[in-house]
Amino acid sequence: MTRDQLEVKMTDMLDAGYSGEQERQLLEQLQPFPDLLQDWQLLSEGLPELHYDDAYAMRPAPPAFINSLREQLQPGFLSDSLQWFPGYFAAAALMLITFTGLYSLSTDSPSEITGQQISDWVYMAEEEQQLQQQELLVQELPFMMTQSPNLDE
Amino acid sequence: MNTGLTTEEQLYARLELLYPRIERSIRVYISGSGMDSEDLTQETFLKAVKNIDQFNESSSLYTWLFRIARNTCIDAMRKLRTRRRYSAEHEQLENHADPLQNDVVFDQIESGRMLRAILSGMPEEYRELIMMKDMEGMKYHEIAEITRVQEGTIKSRLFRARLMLKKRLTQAGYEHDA
Repeated sequence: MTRDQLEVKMTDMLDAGYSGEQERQLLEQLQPFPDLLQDWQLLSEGLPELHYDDAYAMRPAPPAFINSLREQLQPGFLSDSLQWFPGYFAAAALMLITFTGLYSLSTDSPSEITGQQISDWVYMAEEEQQLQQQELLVQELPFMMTQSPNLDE
Repeated sequence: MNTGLTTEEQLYARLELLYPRIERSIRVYISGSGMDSEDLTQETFLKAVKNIDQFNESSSLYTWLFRIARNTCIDAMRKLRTRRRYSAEHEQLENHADPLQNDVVFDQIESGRMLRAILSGMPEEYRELIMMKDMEGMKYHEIAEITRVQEGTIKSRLFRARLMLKKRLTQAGYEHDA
């Protein structure tokens, strides 16, 4: 057996008690380890009676112990806010992105402006301008006819 | 038997019952370090209540609490920067026996003080095993679960811990006449 195994065996024997035969076998196994043999002889004498309660008397819970636990676990507004803010922020951002995306995908939006519409507006503006110029010309034509340049000068 | 208590009240009642054992274990664990056991005990119970949903009802509440206490002590000791060696100096600051008391009480107090001084001077892992096995009566499989060390290793270390304790008690002339 190894040293560790012998130490385990000795602990078991000290805890559970042992017979003379068991001790005899152990002593044989301890022969190769004189220091362990010495340790066994020392411990097998037993420890003095140890009154741990005298050394470490148990103390009851302080009177306000439970109340102080409850108080420290009470949520506060600030602590709640700090705790939940990241979640609320993420949820709000997600909703904003979702609604914006849905709105932009909608084809029924009256305010949607297409390239065709822009083109139409541009050409329409030019046509209107040309029409206005023609109307003006028609209006001024008689005047212009009477104001023909003097070719003799 | 219907005690009329809600589940939460029952929990707090159980915690209050376990307080003395846990506080004492913490006191032994940090023995000689100068730290306040009451603060660490409060911290332990606060952690326990905050994480009570992780407690498995089929296991022992005491063992679960003890594990939290142990981890709390380990963290606290690790943070202790100014003290490099644990000494029994703080044991001297505790109450000394009043020599006017009767001899039996005097012996008890002095023996207790001597035992505290010896335990606080032992290596932490030895003191911890003495405390868990010999003081608290924990079973080896419970100690193995808490410390995450195999039972064989625990028994081997306990053998050496008891040996050290025996030698130091003998050197100190420890006697306790009940």
